[in-house]
Amino acid sequence: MKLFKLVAGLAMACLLLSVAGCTTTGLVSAVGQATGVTIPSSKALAVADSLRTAEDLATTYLSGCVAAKSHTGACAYGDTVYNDAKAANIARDNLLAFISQHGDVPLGAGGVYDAATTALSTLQSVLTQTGVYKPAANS
Amino acid sequence: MNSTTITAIINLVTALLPTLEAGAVTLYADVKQLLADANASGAATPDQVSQVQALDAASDAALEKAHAAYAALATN
Repeated sequence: MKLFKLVAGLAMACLLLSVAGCTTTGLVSAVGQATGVTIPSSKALAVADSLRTAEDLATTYLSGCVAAKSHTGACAYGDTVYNDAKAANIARDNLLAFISQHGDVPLGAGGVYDAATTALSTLQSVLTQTGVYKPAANS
Repeated sequence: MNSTTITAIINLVTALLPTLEAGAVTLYADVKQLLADANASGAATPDQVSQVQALDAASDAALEKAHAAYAALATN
């Protein structure tokens, strides 16, 4: 109950202050920092794995468009998919570098965990538009 | 603060309530998951990290190759 009050309070503060970029991810991170939450390195590694899976889907999409010789219509997202995948790669590499050097990842530690999960969400979002990624029904 | 302003504020809050409620529910679920993740045990070994990095390198190369071919479509 205390946690819910804290979260609700942060959400209300976010609304009242109209802070740009005040997203759920940011609030979750803020709660994590306030409570000293550390993400186990195995969990962070799983996020890195998910990023690679999404990258492979991006490659599948681009290859499909190349095979179809199409740069328009359903294949018009190619550059966006590529740019999001590249951004995700940077976030993934930073996360892996942190795990290699420090092990578990405290939230707020350079934002490496937030950046990776946000990049994954962004890439999955554009891949959903292309139709190559289908979110699980319960996610 | 006059009654018109108060009424406007009440109307605004009333209009925002469904959004606030939905946001709070989502946020609560996210934080609950975050804490569950944090409580999960497990440290990645250096070997596991190296394996992931090796797989990443292969995927990165495949992505670059696919995008180069895709970009070439536009110029042909």
